[in-house]
Amino acid sequence: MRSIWTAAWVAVVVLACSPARAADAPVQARIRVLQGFRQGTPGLPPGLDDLRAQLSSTAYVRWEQAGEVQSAMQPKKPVSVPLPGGESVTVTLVESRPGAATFEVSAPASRTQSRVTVAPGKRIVQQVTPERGGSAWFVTIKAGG
Amino acid sequence: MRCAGAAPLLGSLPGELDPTEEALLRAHLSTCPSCQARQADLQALSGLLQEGLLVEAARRDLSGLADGVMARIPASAWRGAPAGPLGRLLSFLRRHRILAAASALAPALAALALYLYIGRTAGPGPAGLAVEVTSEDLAAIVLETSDGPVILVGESSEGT
Repeated sequence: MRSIWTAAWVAVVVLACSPARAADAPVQARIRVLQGFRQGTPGLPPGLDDLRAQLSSTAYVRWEQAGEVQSAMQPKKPVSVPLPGGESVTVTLVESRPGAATFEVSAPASRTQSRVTVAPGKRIVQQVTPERGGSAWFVTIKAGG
Repeated sequence: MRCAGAAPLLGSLPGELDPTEEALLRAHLSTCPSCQARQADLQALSGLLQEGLLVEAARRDLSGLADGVMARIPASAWRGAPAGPLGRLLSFLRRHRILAAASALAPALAALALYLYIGRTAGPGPAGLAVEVTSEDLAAIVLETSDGPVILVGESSEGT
């Protein structure tokens, strides 16, 4: 009888605590820095094909990748992503749990801050600078590589 | 059939012998006066025994037998308890009340744990997205696509 009580409480504790442990797990993230142009020959470099659906929804027609950071992100530990020209963007994994990861992107250049929760396999595309001379800088984040 | 073979069959009750044995015994008895006499003695004795037992039983007073038997059975063993497997189960649960309570509580605790687990692991919603954007100077636009959100910043948000 006592063993049944013990097993029941252990199950409750384990199930209640397991998501908390999962939330502390690092997340492998792929962060790319892109520049989008309003004018030029429309097209995407081969390396950006996976972003076609998102990039083609904007008014920018030509894209170039300027950098990439791959990081095993720990919750609450910001990763600084440099932009050409000396600016940078800070990406922080706020929380990860089975089926979702929440990132915070802070872009001082545009004084913009976002908090986005995405499911595995989804990507975040965020403009991180105001448009200057027909182009702007973007970062894309994909959890899980 | 000879007398030695017929002797074990004498005194048998109707239906005890198979048809072959019955036919052989009948054939022997029709030709053997000695066995006829022995058969008659056995039948008479059997009748006397039956009658004697009935007389002896009638002489006894059995009117209180049923009450006596019931009085010797503990009341807790039968009062209010249905017969059969259900009765045995109820009797077991009465004797192990704490175990019964724990058995009833365990599924409830499991359901609670499942509820907590699902609540903590739920995704960001049916669309799979949850976006919050704050911008001090620029207007932010969120485009939701099948692959994820696109966040754009546009003209100054002042005056809009």
